[in-house]
Amino acid sequence: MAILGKLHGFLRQKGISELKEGVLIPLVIILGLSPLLALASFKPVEIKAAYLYNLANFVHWPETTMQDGDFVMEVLGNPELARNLALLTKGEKLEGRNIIVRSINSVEEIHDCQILFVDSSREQEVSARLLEKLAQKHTLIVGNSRGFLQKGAMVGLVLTGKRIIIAINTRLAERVGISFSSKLLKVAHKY
Amino acid sequence: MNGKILWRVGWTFFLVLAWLAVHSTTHASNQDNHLLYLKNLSIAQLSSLEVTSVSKTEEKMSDADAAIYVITQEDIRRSGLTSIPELLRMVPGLQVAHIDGNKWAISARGFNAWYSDKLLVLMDGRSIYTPLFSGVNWNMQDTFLDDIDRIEVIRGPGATLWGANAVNGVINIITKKAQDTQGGLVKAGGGNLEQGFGGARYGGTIGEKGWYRVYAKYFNRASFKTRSGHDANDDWEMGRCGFRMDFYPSLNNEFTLEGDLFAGQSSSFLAFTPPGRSVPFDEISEDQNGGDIIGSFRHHFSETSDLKIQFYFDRTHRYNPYIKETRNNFDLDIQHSFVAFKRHHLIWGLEYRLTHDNLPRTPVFIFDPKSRTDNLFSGFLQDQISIIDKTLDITLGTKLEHNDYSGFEVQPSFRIRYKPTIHQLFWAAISRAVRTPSRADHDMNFTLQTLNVGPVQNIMLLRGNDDFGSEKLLAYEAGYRFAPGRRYSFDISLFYNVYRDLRTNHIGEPTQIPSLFASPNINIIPLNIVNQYHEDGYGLEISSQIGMTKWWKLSLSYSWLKLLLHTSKQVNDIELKEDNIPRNQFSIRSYMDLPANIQFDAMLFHVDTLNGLDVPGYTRLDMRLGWNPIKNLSLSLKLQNLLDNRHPEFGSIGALRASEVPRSFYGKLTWQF
Repeated sequence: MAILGKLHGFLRQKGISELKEGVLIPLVIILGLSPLLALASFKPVEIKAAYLYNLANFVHWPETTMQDGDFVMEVLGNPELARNLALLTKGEKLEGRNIIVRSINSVEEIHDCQILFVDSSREQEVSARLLEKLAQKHTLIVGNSRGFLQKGAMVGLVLTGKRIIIAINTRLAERVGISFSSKLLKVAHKY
Repeated sequence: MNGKILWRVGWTFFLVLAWLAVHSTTHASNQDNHLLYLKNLSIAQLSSLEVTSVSKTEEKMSDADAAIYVITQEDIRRSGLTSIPELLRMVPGLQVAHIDGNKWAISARGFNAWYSDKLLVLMDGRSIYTPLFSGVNWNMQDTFLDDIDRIEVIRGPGATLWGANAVNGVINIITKKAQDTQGGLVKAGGGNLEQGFGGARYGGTIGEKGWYRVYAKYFNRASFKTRSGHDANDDWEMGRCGFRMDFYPSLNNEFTLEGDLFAGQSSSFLAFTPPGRSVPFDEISEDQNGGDIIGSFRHHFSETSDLKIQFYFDRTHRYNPYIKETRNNFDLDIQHSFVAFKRHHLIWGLEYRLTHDNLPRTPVFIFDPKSRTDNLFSGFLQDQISIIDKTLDITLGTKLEHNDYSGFEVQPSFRIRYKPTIHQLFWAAISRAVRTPSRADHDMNFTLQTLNVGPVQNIMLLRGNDDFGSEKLLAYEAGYRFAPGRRYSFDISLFYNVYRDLRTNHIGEPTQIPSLFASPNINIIPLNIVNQYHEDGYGLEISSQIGMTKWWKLSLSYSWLKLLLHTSKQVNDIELKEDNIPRNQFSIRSYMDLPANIQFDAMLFHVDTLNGLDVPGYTRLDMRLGWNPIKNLSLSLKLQNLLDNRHPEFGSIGALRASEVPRSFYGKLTWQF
């Protein structure tokens, strides 16, 4: 409050032009720096959510799956990630369709969806056979580990050092008609 | 300066402070802002972000079944200490003492000396323990300290994994990966003892799947003081440069290539008159240079199976009037870890090391043979067996190695770990480790002293002995760790060590060499190196980390140590004597994050008296003030040894005169881009 009082006195004394030079300019400079500070560091769930949010724009599903209805993303075994993803997609549409984020807690709850994210703690429960079945339904399966990619997932968000990189099993995805934009392929590690 | 400008400057400054204060408190908790920011990033940008998570360090410290302590990069930065040996002071239970301006005596659990032969030290997997005298030439070791990821210190035997000489402990200095040191960093500073130091590092990318960094640094340290307050002539300067590259050609493969080059010069006061010389040596200067290259390849077969192959080549050259040493080491190491039958976590490894040296004779040292090539072959197998999932496991393992001095050595260990809750851990271990003979133990002829009595010149000659075998340790250890949440942790470890066949020397039959031309006749009194003494060592080490508030962290440690030599004889060996180690040591470190990006850090170390070396106990206080006026710039001021003008930390060793550590200060500026 004392600051505001001082500012008020300062305004009256110096006039608005002074304010522009003396306060606004440094203020703009300082605020301009703030994205730099945001670079500091993020939780893995935040970065993974941002990846998943981005992924939808760079993946092409076969026409048959892209019928009417909602665009559904399911997150198995990580409610916090689902919450972050829901926040990111709030009010967003994908090719005119509503985006639905579902947090699920068991393999039985997996329904028709375009993207299925399986948390690393639950990868054991998802069998290679189930993965194959989901792939045939054109579900993009996203996991966290190299092992899961080997097992039959299409995309991996893998912690490497201090960063999370994206790895893609293009062969597996293309087999069932899912393709990736060149922009994504350029950045992703091929597997 | 007119009023207007003053107003403006004042306001800007005030706003900066206000913004920093507000931002530093709200930044971490504002999840929505984080997401909003992430939403606008491309996939490429996402893949370059750093994540915060439970670090490997924290995981290691809370989960290990050994007395482990990890010095983090944050500890390094906030200590303000400028060399690797000084950083080791932060480790509870380690004995770290300056002998003179560029030499240290560093050991764990006793046996401290100029060359402490029971502590193994590795840098990125490269052994820096010299096979010549068994120990570390600390005045040749350094790196770009900002690029160290962590220093892991294990007290107690680590021989099953690390091999011979990891008797009382093993230190692993691990540098960051190249992708974690991207961008530039320039630093420079100076003070009364640190007369000038500077360094720069730059990191960039190689294609899409490779990263690199290069660095160069230099420092110049002034002399300490003698007991009487004179200049001790033990200054030290060194320059060093190096690189590291990390490649990830595919998800399952990692390549690393790194290397360093260094050159330096250090002085000491070694008062000695070798035979055949009338003028004594006193102030001697040593030239050092060398380099190393390390290549490693890591392949992930699966989440639970990892293969690592590493080679390194290392060359060092040391030249002073006493010792002229050139040494080349070549090492190849393979390690494979995997999970078998669900309950077994197996690691096996094979290693081959070749060391070749050249040691021309000096008036003081004659090595026989002058040049020698030694081979070391070793292999190990370790199995960690889970008895109750995530609660109880045991680890069995052994190392088997063959060296050219003592032949085959077996170094097994048995460990047990019990985690009744996720916050508590009990561990216990029994292990065997050996200190294998050094090149000097077998081959040296070291003129210790010359004494002219009438027409006869007596020469005391310390002689290597080809029958000298390994020194052996059987260690019993136990520990307990308690960490309820992330703000408080407590760690205690106890040990009882039984040492056998420790080194000493026996006086042999004198031999007379009649002078052919003129007097004096020479009388050689040999002192032969032998395995003789048995000794027990026991003690405890306690450490605790306390997060007092969000902005204030305390780190406490205490250690108590006793050695018991089984002999009634008068023993002169410095490292064996119980009164040459500090009985009690404690330290308090405090890290404070003050408003306006100011850090105030302090460290207090207390070390007990070393009666045998006539070194009084001392308490050392260091303080550091750091300030980041803007994001990329940091300034710091460091004050060391505030409590006294100067103090000794170790005693003179033979002809090497110890000197006293003076009060000192320096200022430093670091710019990152």
